[in-house]
Amino acid sequence: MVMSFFLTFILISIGGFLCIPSYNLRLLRVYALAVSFVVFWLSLVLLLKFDSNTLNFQYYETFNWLDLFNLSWSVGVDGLSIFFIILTTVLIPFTILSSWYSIKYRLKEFLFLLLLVEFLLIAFFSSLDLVFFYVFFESLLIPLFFMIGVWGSRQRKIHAVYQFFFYTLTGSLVLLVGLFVIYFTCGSTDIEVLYHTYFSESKQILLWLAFFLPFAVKVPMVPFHLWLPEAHVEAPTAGSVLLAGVLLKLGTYGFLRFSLPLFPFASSYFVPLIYTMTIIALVYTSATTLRQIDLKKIIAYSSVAHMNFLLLGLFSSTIEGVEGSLFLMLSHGLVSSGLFLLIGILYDRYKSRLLFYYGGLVQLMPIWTIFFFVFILANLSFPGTSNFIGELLVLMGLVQRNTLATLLAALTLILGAAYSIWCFNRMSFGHVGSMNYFGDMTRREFFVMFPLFVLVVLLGFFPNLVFSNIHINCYDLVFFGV
Amino acid sequence: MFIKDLVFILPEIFLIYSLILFLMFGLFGTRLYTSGFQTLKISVLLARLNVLPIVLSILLLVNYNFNSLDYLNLLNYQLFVSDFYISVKILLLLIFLLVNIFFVEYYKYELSSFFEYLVLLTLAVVSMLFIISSSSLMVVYICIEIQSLIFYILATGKPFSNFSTEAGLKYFVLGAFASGLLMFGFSLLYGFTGIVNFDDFTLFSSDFESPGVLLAILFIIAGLFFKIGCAPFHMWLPDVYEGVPTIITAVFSVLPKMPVLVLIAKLFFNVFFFYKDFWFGIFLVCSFLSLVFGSLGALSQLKFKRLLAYSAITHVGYLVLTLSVATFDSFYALLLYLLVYFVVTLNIFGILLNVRKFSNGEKMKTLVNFISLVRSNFLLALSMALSFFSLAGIPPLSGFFAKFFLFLSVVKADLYFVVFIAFLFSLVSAVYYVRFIKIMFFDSGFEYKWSLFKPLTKVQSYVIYFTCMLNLIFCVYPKPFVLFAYYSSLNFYLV
Repeated sequence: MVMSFFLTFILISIGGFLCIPSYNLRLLRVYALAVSFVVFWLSLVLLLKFDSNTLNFQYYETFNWLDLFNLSWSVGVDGLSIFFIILTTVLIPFTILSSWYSIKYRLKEFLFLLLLVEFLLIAFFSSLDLVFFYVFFESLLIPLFFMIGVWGSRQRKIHAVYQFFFYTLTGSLVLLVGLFVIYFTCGSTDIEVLYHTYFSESKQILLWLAFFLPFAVKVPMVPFHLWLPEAHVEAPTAGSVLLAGVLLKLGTYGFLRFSLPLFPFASSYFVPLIYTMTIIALVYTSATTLRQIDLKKIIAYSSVAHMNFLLLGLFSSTIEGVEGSLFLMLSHGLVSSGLFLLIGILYDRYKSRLLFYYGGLVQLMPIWTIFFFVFILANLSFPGTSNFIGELLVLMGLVQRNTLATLLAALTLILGAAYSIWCFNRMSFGHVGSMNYFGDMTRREFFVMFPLFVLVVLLGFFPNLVFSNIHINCYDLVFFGV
Repeated sequence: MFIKDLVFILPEIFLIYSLILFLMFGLFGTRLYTSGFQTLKISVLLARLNVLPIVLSILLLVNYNFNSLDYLNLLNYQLFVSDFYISVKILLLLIFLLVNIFFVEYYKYELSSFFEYLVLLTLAVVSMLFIISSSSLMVVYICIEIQSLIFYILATGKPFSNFSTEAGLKYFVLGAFASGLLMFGFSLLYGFTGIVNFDDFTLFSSDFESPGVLLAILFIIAGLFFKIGCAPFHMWLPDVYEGVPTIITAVFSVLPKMPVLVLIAKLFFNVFFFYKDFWFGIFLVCSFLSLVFGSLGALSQLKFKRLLAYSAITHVGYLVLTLSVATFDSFYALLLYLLVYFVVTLNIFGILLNVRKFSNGEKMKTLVNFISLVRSNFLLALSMALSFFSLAGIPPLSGFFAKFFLFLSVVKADLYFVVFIAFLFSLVSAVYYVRFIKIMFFDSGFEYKWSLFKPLTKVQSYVIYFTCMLNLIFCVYPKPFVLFAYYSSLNFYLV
């Protein structure tokens, strides 16, 4: 009842949003913001009523979709998915606020797409059926396709949109084959049934590979990562925030939800592959970040590095590693979104994202620089920020499995510090560049950044807010993997 | 007995009488033209009136209350009626109804002095209804010939257009050749077995193991695949689609597919099922070739109708893929896919046919013309984009679920490699669908100035809205669609 109320509320409010005439810009903005706040509040209710002592799916509901084929849409949340829903609902108000004035045309359509993305993401994270997981996984393509393509900044956006679209589509078509095989093996795609099914070892390996490709595209792991910097750079700020904050987590969430529990044999079989790919990705993307000239590309490549880093923990099959990587997903969602929002604020003022033109911002925008400093610190996982907890736990988990991999993965701490500090240094200090505008953050922008800042620091000091709720599910995943 | 049989072809008889009436009415009307009346009004009026017999014959069809296992042989085993065929006929007439509604608006701008088009088309639909329920080679051939001859006439729609004449001539020459192949196949079959009736052949098919029957099947496949435009018999399709008047393109892309596919299903799932080892490979190769030619050919098209033509070839490839599997699952997947394909195609043609420039009533021809559509009527462009996403098979639109059940049936028959190939080409075909959406929404296109469009009439926009909503609603409530396909195919198999 709770989940269906939650989802129908979003749908109905989207319907109400469509009734507002498109010339009434203020009403559109206020309405969208109000809806996103109410949805955020509702998601907090979900968290409040969440029972952290049970393994069962909570708020479980089943909607009969096609009983003829044994397909039904089950929704529910557990410790693995609740925080992704909250992350989504936290970020959507910020995306709406950040595109308050920066979207110059077709505002109604833009806000509609944002709310639609919110609905699709919540439906994605709460659906407990493989078919619907797939449907929402892929239907997220349509709103983001339009978001990047219509409101993107340069002509390169078409290239970016194509890459984004076809990388994802190719990956998910392979997933579809795996889905068919699973459907014919179990006769159902409900996750409760799947968790109690044993797949033979050879089948596990094939299915794992079929699931691996779409998730690896989404994470993104290194040979499949080319779409990400392009899409991030060309998207409007809100699009980048959504991409970095939530959409990258679809892949890791998929690993967490399907690959690890369904195919435990294959997951341990492919650990060397994952470790090799991620460590190559770590070093390669961290080094690439140092050579970027576009601010958004710097953040994009650094998020590739972070996402690959957390995969190490996910496949370490230790409780520390898995919990740490889940925590790192959430905290990366906050930190990289914060960085993209900050870059967006700069872009609104100076209309450039090239590092070359920036310098001495501490003299022009002191408040902005403070926020930027905190988020850069979080990005290099400084103690006291949320990223630190995640990275520490991932390394702790990893060191129990593979010392060499830990050593190589720890390289990223140095490289991460290098590019973060380098970027901050170039932007904040030195000569004032060719900027002729001297306005610091406005009140609206401050209230976008401040809650994120509070969240990052809060989770850095009280990580138990998250851990206490995910503990039992991660424990189950690691020790009693079916 | 004869009178009793006639009851079950009452809708067809009713349509024939009504079209004769309309023909006389139209001729009378054109006589009036010489004495001052406008023909324009006659054709539009006729198109409006024609809705009535279609609706009435749909009601007549609904009225046959067949139980799930009832069937009837009519007119000395020439026709066969059961619940499945009735529901296919209803579907066909519903599609014809929508096409007829397009005609109302179309006659105001083009072909206005040719009221015969609609009358002829009604005759073609009657012959299609007979094809659906036919159970003898004679009836099949005669009805297919009536349908083809009418289509040759329809293709030469604009007497003063070079494109149309060329298209009509090409269609006629190639179509006559294909009909010859079909006739040759039928006569070989008759010569080697002495049977024209489907049921008899089904009973005795295991007795005929001569290569002559196989040769006959080969020719029949060639003839029928030509009619639905499956590669390697697809060469006529892009030129004809492009050349003929747009409303006739809409007719070609939706109407003849249904009866011919049902006929193929009837022939190859029942009558020739004994020879499945023989035709399975041919079907598979044809489907593969359609996917290749359809998806690669469309990649560099600039004209909208040619793009649709190649996309139709690709979709026929998927349909033939399900036919080649020839299981119960593949048959309902086929019906579901057809249903979704019709809905989406009618939506696309509804937009294409009804959006006209304010100044001269011109329609949009090339892909880049649609830039101006997105500027002036955003919702129509969005509906078009949703249809194209649906054709590309992106969830949550209906096209995805149609493809989902289609591939499900193919995987169930353990044809993993085939599914892999089909996926590959669905990816390729997604490229040009997405390219079109990109052209519509993202290109700046300063050289294609914003133009004013004539406002859509209410009925036309209802049709577009209806088809777009069906496309969207599928993911929420798929039951009616799937159950229709499922129970129809159940009936097809059991009876």
